Amino acid sequence: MNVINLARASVFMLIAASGLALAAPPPKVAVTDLAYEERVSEYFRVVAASEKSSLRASGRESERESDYGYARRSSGSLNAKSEKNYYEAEGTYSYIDRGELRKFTADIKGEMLKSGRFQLVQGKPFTDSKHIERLYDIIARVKQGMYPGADYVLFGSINSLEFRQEANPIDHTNTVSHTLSLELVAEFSLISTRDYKIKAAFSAMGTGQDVKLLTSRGGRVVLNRGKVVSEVSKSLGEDAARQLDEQLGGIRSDDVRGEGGYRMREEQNREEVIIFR
Amino acid sequence: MYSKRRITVAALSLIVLSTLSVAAPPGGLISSKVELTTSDDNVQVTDLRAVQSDRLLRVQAELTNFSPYNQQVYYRFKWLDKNGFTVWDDEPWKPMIVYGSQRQIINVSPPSLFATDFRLVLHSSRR
Repeated sequence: MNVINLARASVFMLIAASGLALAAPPPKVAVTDLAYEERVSEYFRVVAASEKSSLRASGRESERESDYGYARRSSGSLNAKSEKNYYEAEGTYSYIDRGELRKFTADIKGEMLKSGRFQLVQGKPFTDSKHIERLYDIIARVKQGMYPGADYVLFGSINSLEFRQEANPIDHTNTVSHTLSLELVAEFSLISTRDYKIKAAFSAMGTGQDVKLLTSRGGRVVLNRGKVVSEVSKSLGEDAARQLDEQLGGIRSDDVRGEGGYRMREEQNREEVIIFR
Repeated sequence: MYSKRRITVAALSLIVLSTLSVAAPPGGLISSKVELTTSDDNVQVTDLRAVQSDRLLRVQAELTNFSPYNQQVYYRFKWLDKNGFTVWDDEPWKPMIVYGSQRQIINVSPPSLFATDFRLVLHSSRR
């Protein structure tokens, strides 16, 4: 009888423990806007010219006539002054531009929400234009309370952002393929707001492109910039969420939806060769 | 006994069906994509494959000359959309010499992104 009671108690404890584990809420994460730092060079040319001239002329003439004599006196003075200044300088002026790109993070947040592992909280944007170098000081930003209620901050910064527009002729045709593509590489760190430990760090890439073909008959090509930007955002979000998931315990075998998602992405990237017999 | 035989027959037919499905070509027959305008069978399409990358179709055809003599062939492609409509005007015939007992590869891409299917029209002049 005692053994049965013991077994019952242990089963209850197990159920309670599992219930507790299930009841633990997912961590709250704030996703920052993507920080960027860029060296900007600007050409400048300054020309300053000034001219000053003055002319002063004075003349004096006096004449005196009396019964005894005659006197005439005349004097004159001329004072001319001219001054010219010319200054010319040219060169390049370089400075480091820092800031936050308020784009491309919505799909990262969306993918994180889809995974069901995180709760997202909104952080305050960095708007301190006087101390812009503090943008990368994430600890100071956490201490300033810019991420209220967040357990973790996903801090992202842009490594590379490049638009490319190409026109390539296709072999054996009179067609030219016009391509507009955008590649964005950003690196992310998931930082704990309590002890500033980095729980995950990775770089993720987003790519998007629009292709239009133009023949020698002519025409005008306007490439779809919106589609490119949207594709970049979506692929960046998927890549970032996948790597975040991998580093925080890998892909769970029971997560059917997640696994299917990855398989689907792989299939999308694969080129299907059709062989005729 | 009767039921055992039935099971065996069913199993055999399953095996036959599965082998048939394995043997079936994934993209259909070459003859379904090639239109020959002559009855000359010295030059034949021996390999045909297509791939769609970045929405653009790419087709590769291998022509083999089974005769020991050089053969003059002319070819052009018809580009079709997913519903079978042509998406481009008739292309000019392109001449090519397939040397005796040799193979030649043709690599083409359609002039339109709407092309998802194709026909290779082949004309070889009889020697």
